[in-house]
Amino acid sequence: MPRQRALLPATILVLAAMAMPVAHHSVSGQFDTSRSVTLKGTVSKVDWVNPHPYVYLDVKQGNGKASTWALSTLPIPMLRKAGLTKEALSGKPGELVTAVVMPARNGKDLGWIITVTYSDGHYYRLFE
Amino acid sequence: MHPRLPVLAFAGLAACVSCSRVPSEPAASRPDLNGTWGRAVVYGLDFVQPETLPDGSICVGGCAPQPENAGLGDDPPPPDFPKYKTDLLPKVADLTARQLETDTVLRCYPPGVPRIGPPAKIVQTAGEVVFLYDDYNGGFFRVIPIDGRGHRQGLPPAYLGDAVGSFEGDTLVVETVNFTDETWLTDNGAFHTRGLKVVERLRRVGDTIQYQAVAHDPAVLQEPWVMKPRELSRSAVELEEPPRCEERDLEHMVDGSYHENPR
Repeated sequence: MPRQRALLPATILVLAAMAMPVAHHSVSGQFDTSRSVTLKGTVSKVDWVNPHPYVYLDVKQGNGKASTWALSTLPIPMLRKAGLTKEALSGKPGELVTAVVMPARNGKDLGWIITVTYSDGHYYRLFE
Repeated sequence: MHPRLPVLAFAGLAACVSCSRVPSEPAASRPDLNGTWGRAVVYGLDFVQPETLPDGSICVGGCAPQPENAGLGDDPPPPDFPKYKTDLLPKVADLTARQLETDTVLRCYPPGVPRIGPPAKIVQTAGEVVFLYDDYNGGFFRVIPIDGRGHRQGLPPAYLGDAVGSFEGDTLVVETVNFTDETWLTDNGAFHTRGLKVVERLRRVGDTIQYQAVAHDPAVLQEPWVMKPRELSRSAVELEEPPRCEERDLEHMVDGSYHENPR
């Protein structure tokens, strides 16, 4: 049984940020907030960049082909405040992770992370 | 007399044409602004009240009691906006409508002053104050002489301008000029000219600093713009090198929707 607590009532996290307090594009301008996609794969890279870090997930398709999804998430000051590091997001090398994401509106293999769950069941919930 | 001295003396004079020496408070009586400082209220980060579970799971946002007035699900309050001259309002509106294209801060440019906000760390010596910033767009700094010298001459316009400071009683007053015109005062098309002058005041009150900035640009503003004051409190968290800034999202934007994020 996965070691997950019942998810607490989540709140839509507005992407306002601190010293990133500049007008910033909204999540809905880039991602379809009405849908979610579940991806299983291995993290090949984490780009720890501002304003949004990217987690690259190598996903095997049903036809055996692999594709790499670029998954974006909260600004680094927010992740730091939550105690999340690049290493924590990366997981162990070759570890199978499950990411639930909002897909990009332009159809590309691009998503906004809602949750990412690791092989031992621990997870990070980053959006509602 | 040494043959090189007259040349050196002349060079020294030319580098500082308008060096009016304005007396500042004696060093011994100045407040000590040294330290790493955080903002008491940081909109956006207030939402981040993570809950960490024993298995290492982290739930970000909405997982713990929210601070009062965190504005759950709401946009942050709009900043007070500069009062532009009436004939410039169409330009402001156009820049606002296209701000995902026109706002340089979205392309990792330095944010400019006062948009960058108060410093995250202050290093103060007898002759200068150094402001260090931990900004999304980079780790910026400003070196501010407080020895009475005037603004430097002959420098190209800069994103963070050229600053000089002095103490007036318990307040450090910083005057900055020589800006590029590529930055904005705040969100939503708040452009300025190269004639911008910004006056910042930092006053130590106990273990806090009261920070205020006023932008003067009479070519475009009806009156000086007073940025919302900020209160800084001592932070136990030392600065880290900010990650590099890379804008990768704009090319994937389907529409120009955005939300405001006042500094």
